[in-house]
Amino acid sequence: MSAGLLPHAALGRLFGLIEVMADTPGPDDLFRLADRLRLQLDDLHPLIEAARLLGWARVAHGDYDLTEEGQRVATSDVAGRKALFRERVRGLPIIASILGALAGASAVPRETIRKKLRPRVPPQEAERQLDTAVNWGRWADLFDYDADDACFIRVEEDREA
Amino acid sequence: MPEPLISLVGVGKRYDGAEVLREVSFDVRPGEMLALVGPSGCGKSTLLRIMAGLIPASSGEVRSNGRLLSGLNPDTAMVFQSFALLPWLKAAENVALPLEAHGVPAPERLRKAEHLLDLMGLRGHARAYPRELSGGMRQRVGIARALCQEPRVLLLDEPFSALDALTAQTLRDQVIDLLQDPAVATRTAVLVTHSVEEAVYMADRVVAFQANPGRVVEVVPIDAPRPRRWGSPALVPFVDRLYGLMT
Repeated sequence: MSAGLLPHAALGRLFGLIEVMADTPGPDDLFRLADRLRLQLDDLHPLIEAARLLGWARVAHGDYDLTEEGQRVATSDVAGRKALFRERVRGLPIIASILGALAGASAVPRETIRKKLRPRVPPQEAERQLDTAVNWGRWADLFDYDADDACFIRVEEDREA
Repeated sequence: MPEPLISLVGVGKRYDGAEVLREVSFDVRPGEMLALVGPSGCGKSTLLRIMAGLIPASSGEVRSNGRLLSGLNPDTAMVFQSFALLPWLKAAENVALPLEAHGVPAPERLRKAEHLLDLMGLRGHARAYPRELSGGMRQRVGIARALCQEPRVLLLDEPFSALDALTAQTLRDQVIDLLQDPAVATRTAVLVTHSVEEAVYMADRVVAFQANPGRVVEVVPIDAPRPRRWGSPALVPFVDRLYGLMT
């Protein structure tokens, strides 16, 4: 994965994975995990990558292990998970760039962020990056997105419950 | 024992002369998660639709909240395997739609819909179209839409079957938690599933069916402590027993 890009992980699957990882404490083999979940390593990869990027799992030499925060995610309810996710996600480059743009405007066209990705990300991947950013940003309550007008929308911080 | 919320007595169903269900009798008790499990063709999804009043029984009696059922059952709301969201409506609008049919004014509809989405962890996705959502998120919208109607009994028709294993696992736990949540009015659910493991993991009682024609073999109480763990040894005897009954 190129530096700074988001892995395309559906969040429901990611949290499912964290729960499964928490069921078997200590480092374990990735192949065995994939086998137990009846998942191809290719399908597992973006999820593992997301867990690593968020600081919830360590991966080395084909083994994985949950970090302390990862353990906390596994036992938290939705609100707790959201809080941890939010803090981690707001610092990721593409999310931070959207938040930065929204600091100066209540709505920012998708095209503006697409242009920032363009020099280093191929067009199709740029679209996927934007879609994943929308999904993660919404789940973290960091920003909203208007698909009709194709623009990111600022949400007020006091939406945080 | 408190009055059953839904009561089936000798319910049968025929389509064009073919017998789909024969003499089905059981109660749905307040506060329970009741699972209907059986091989495909045992009529369990048909039975769920009979309980919802979407299709009539050919024989026998269905009572809901003490009243003989005729037409749509106002005490129930259904969650579908296929999610059944309207693609041109945003998530909150999909959730609020049944309330419109119930004559709830627009501002209250939206407030309730956003509250339910919040409980499902999807507050930030209220303005997302279904195509912008993952499968797990779509089904969360489907569940929010059903719970928004505050049914006495939530009817779940294979709600996790279209989802991958990881997504399904977190959503099962979320449904169990929601039915205990003081912010949710509904306490009782009927789950149709072809997965014995899922039935045992989630339910307080499991109704085991055989096919051709669909009929009840036995109602098995799952008196394993909660919270349960998927694949835990404590659940194995129940799983084995149910497989034994159905085959």
